[in-house]
Amino acid sequence: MNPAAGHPVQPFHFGSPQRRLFGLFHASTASLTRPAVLICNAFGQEAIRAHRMLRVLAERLAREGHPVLRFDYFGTGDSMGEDRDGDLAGWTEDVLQADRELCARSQSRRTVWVGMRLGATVALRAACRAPEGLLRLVLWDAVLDGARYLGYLRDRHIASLDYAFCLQTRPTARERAQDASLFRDEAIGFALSHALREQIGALSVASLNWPPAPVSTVALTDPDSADGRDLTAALAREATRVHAVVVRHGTDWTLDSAENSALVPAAALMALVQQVGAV
Amino acid sequence: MQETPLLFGPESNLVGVLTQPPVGTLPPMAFVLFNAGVIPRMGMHRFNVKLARALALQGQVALRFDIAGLGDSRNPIEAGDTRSQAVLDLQAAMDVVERRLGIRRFALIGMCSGAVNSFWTAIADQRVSAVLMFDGFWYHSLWSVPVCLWKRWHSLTWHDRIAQIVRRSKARLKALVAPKNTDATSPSLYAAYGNPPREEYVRNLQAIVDRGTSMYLVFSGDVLDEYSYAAQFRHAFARERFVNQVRCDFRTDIDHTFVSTDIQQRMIALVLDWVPEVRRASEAHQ
Repeated sequence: MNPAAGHPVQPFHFGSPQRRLFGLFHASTASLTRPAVLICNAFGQEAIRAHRMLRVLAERLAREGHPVLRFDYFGTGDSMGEDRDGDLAGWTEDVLQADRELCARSQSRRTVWVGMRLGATVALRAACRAPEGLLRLVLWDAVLDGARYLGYLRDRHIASLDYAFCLQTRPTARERAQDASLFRDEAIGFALSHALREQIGALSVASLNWPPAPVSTVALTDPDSADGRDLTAALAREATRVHAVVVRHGTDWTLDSAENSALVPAAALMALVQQVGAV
Repeated sequence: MQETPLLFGPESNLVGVLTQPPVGTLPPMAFVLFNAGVIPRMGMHRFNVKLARALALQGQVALRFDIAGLGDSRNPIEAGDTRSQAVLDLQAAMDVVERRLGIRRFALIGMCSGAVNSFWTAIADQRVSAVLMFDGFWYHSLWSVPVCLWKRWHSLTWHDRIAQIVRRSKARLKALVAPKNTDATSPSLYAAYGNPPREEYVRNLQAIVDRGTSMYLVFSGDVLDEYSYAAQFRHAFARERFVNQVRCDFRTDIDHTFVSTDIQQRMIALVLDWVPEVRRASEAHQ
């Protein structure tokens, strides 16, 4: 196979008829068989922008012997459901469903989960349900402070509205945002249900639960971010259970243009491959 | 509504999702949606998914897919240049719908660089009976630049105007003393997609229209430097036969990336409003 052409994938639907999810299975292309990897994507515009990164990660892992499943939560990407159908409890069930699908397709009983941004938070919630065979949880820039995350998304949404048109409308979105009740039901082109907003808003470092042994947890954090600093402080209390790895990549995942930000930050890619491979 | 993930293309390298209406007979044509820039097949802010499902509720078939190298689609072993490969991939998308559903007429909806790919595919393939080009090629009339400058000036407050004059004066002074950069690239994001020479565009657009293909050009309120007023297309091509055969809208209430859900709904309404015209063009094409 021409290496430049990339690895073959198999797109498919899985899950119940009422909750059909879209998945992409990357079969291992190495002779050795290593634990299967489930990739949990970020949310909204961050997921669109991270698509390339997670495709490259999946291909890299498949070449090293890991069967990989990427999937879309209900109400996101190519899965059934509309934006407003998404909620954290449902997405947590989706992760567990995807894990069963991965085990069935890969014929593997051992899995590693990789979660990014809000996907890391959802994976962490699902991992606490201790699915059989989960060896390791790799969290990348997990969303730990839900209120701060919602505030950030609102801020980016307002900035996107003001940037969107050549001619500025008056009052600007920034001026209208003085009314705190505005710009709460969507985030950069994705509708947010009241339930999802409430669930995300309730996330906090203090409420974190780490998966029980024998699952090993690795958190990739950026100390330049507020979440990264909070996590570092929290992990000081959990040092024996969670391994922290510093990764600075400087990527803004909420941008909706291809300019000014790496789509596949090499430092993060290398760290993720290394942490998955360390099982 | 029924959705089917597909792997297709000569090397099974292309990934897509086929959306069909829940019941009833299949329409005479299908819509094809694909990448804008480097954004995956789901589209800007998941727009292609929302549009495909809205079309299915109206009884239409839509395939959304990634052209080679983008989204989840692999490059073929011997990929062509960007333009010719995109045309081959769009033809493979039409092939798979034709093979599965027997539909032989297609409407391409291309956004940004996708609009450009739609245009070249319409030239290459007679099965294309309708094309919607969103922020695709643009050609100035004599009025384009003055209208753009006038609109920009009038959109600013006096405070903004003074700040802009100061900012630009500083930049000019700085440029005067700075060493000249001979490698400077075009300042326009959109210039990178490249209009063909005007004569080539006129010849090809006339050929597409002459064979009965419905052409719909839509320009957003985000591209004022390139398209600044509603009649620009008519003025730029006043002497061409196609000027009364091509539908063209300037939508200042829609931005280039559909950044909010209400803008997405406006764009979906625009496409649904175009569907009867697409059906007529497809039936005339049979």
